[in-house]
Amino acid sequence: MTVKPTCSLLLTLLLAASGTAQLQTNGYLKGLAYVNPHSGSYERLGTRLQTRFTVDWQDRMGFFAGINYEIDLAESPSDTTEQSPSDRIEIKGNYLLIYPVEFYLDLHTSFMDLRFGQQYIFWGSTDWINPTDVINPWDYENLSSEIEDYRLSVLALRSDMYMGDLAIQAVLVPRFTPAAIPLPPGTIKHDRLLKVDQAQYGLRLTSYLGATDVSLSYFKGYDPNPTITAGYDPSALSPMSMEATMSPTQWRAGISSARSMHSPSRAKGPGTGEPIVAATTRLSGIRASKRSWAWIISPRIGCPSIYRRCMKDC
Amino acid sequence: MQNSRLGYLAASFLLILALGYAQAPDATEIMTAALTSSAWKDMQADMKLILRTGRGGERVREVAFFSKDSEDGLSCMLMRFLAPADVKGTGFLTLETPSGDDERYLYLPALRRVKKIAASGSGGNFMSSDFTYYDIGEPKLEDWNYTLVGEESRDGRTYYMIECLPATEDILKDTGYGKIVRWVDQETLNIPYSEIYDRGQNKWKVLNVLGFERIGKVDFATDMVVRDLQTGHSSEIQFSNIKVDQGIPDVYFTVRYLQRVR
Repeated sequence: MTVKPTCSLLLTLLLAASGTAQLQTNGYLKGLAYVNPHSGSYERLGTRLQTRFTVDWQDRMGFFAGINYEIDLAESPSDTTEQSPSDRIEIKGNYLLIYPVEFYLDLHTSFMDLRFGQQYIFWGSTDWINPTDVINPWDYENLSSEIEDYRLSVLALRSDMYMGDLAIQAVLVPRFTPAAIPLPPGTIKHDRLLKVDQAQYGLRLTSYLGATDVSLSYFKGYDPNPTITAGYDPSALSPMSMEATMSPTQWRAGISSARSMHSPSRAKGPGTGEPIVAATTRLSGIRASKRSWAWIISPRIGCPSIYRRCMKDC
Repeated sequence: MQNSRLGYLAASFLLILALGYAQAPDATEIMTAALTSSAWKDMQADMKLILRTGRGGERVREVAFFSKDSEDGLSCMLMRFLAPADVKGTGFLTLETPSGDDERYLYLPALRRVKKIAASGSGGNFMSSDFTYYDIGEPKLEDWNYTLVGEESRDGRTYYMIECLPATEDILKDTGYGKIVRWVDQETLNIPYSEIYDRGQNKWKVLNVLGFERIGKVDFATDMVVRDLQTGHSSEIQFSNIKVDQGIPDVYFTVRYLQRVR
C-alpha cells in the first residue's frame, strides 16, 4: 500500500518537530437519521464524532487530520464487505466506520505554500455550481448538507504562489478517485489504480478585477463519473448485467467569475457576501483511447440575488 | 479721541467674536480630536462577538483580532473566528487606504475559498451582527459633515452633541446611514453614545460604549453594544487581553495568510 510510507514520513516529521509544536484539538458530535421516503425505513441512523488535530510549527509547517468515527445502526453487518468510495483508508466493523476526512502536511516558504495529503481543492468562483470544480469527486451516496459529506477528498500535492493580486495554483493528483454512485448490486466496477505516468494534474490562476473574483483553470485527468453500460445475456444466470468503466482521458479548461456584494439591508443573512452575478464556463475535450476528441462547452450564468428577490416577492 | 473710541469698539467687537467662537467650538475640530488615530503600530486582542435576538436568544463568537497601521497610511485588520465550531476558521481581512480604496476579503472554510467583498457594500452586516462592515472599520473623518447641535449632561458628565451627515451620496448609499448623532465627552473626547438614523431619517440603531481601556494616551473602546431599534436584535463586541506593539508580521494581512487555516 502506498499510504504506509507516507504515514510513517508524516509521523517522523511530527515527532522530530514536536518540540516547538503547538497542538490543537477540537471536534464535533452529530446525530444522523436519514429516512427513505419511499420505504419509510432508515437509510442511516446513528452518530458521528469528528476529531480534528492541528499542529503548527511557527508559521513554517503545519499538520492537520480530521477523522470521522461513525456508528450507523441502519447499516447491516453483512454490508461490511461492500466497497467504500475511492479506496480510502478506513476501519470498518459492525455498525462502526472510522475514516479520515482530510489529513495533510503544510509547508510554507517565503514564496510558496505546499500542501500534501488527503484534501479538498475546490475550483471555480461561484458559490455552488461550478463546472470548473473538477478535482474532488461527488459522493452521491451520502446525501447531506455538509460539503465534507457530498464531496470526496483526494490525495494530492498542491502548491500556491502569490504575486500581488494573482494567485497561481498547481495541483498533482497521483491517484484517481471515482465518484461514489449508488449502482445496482452486482455491477462490475473497473476503476482501479492508474500507473504513475497517468497522474492527473492542473493549473489555476485566480485574481480580482475590482470586486469580481476571476479564475482561469486547466485540468488533465479523468471524469470521476464512470461510463455505465448495461448488457443482456438470456443464457446467463442473471441475464441483466451492468458495468461501470472508468471514463476516458479528459482535459478541462474553464473560466469562472463572480461578483459579491452586500446591500445595506437589515436582513440578518449569513453575512458571507452573496454573489450578484456569477458566471462559469468549462470547455472539455474528451478522448477515448486513440479515437478523435469530442468537445463539450458547459456555460452557466446565475444571478442568485435576483432569484432570491423574486422568491420573496412571490 | 474719535479714533480711540472706534478702536475700543473694534476691539470689544473682536473680543465678543472670539469669546463666541470659544464657547461654540467647531464640530469638525472636536471630531478630528476625538477620532485621531491610535497611538500604537499594531494590536492583538481576544474579541467576543455576542449576538442577541429580541427574544432572549444569545450566540457568542470568539475571534482572534489583529490590526496594524503602516507608515504609508494603510490600515489593516485581520479577524479569525475560533468558536463556535460552525464558524471556526472563518477569516476576515480588511485593507483600508486613506484614499478610500478599501479591500475586504472573507475566507469561508466550508467552501475553502476567499471571496472579495465589494467596497461599495460597507452597509452589509458583519457576521450576522448588527455591526456593519463600516462600523467595524477604521473611522473615516472625511465621510461626514459635522454640526454641533447642543450640549447634554448624562451621569454627571457633559457631552457635545454632534450631528454627522453623510458627506456624499455614495456614503449615504453605502452605509445606509442618513444621520448619526454622537455624544462626545467634553473632557476625554470619548464617544460613549451614538444614535444612528436610516435613510428615511427614522431612528435605527443605538451604539453604546460600555467600557474603555487606557492604552498609551488613548482610551480604547473595549465593550460596544449596538441595538437595532427596529428589530430588537442587539450585538456586543468585547475586547480582552489587549497587547500593543507586538511586532505582528505584515504577512498576517495578506490573502495568502487568510486562507492558511486548518
